[in-house]
Amino acid sequence: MRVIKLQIAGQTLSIHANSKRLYNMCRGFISTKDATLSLIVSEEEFENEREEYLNRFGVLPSQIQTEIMVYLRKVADALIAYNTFLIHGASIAICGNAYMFSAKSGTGKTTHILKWLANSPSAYVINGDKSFVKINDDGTVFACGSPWSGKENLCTNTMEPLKSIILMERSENNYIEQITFAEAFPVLLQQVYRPNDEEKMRKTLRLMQQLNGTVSFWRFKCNNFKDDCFETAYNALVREH
Amino acid sequence: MKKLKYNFEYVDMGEEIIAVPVGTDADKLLGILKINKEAYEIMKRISEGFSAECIANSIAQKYSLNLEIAVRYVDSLLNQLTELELIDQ
Repeated sequence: MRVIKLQIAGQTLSIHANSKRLYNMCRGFISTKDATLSLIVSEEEFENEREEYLNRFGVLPSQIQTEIMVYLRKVADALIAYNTFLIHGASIAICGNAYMFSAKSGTGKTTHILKWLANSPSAYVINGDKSFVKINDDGTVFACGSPWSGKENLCTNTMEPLKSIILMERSENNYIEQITFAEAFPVLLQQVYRPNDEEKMRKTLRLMQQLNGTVSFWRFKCNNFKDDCFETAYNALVREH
Repeated sequence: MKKLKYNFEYVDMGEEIIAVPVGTDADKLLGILKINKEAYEIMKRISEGFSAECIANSIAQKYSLNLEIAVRYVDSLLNQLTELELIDQ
């Protein structure tokens, strides 16, 4: 077991990595600064995570998978106190701004952001699967990288101003339109980490509300297999705005 | 039947309020509630101690309504949960 300090969303927190896989995942985020938070997973928390996974998917996760998931939950819970919450979304940075594509697993978020990398040399991935959103005291909103980045391990230890959140759904043809916060909220809520603790959940909702008027929201009906999928999104999000 | 433990946090969307379940069993509710904003304001004032009758009086004055009609209006707003939107989990 190794105690490692991670820099995520501007906070330094320490975790106890039992598995080499967790340690390797976190390497790009290791910090030498003093930790403001020390996160330890109890046996009960570990077993609860396994049981929840079993109830949801019908199979027990491995010890390593459980460790990875339980620490994601611990980190996500802890960062709420620092005005930071977690979205199931792939975020990409271009021209000094971040764009976050959020959708259920299997919709094509990662496939789509890889098209941005292929078509835009200056673009880079902040996080390929689970991005943190930090709201500063002055109201500015940032997309933040984290070690929990999906199968492709696409992540960068960085924070960039979040310009847009794009809600993706699969479609025959590519089409994107701007929507209001009210239209986005019910869908976005499904992709936000929702803590069991009532006060943390209330705080998460209040943080989400602060996105209204600061971040633009879009509905993107996407077919990654059609040639125009990158241009459709890029032209609307970057070129025209 | 086990009683679910939850409360609501209200999120202001401008034209309407959304009530989001929070608490231990919140996710079991599988939905959010859209509430007419005026109904929510009335709910809030009642929770602050104003009586429904007092609120009906001010509604009657605001809309130039007969008091009986205003009382029925307040009742209907309080009963009005305009939509239960089930979110696909």
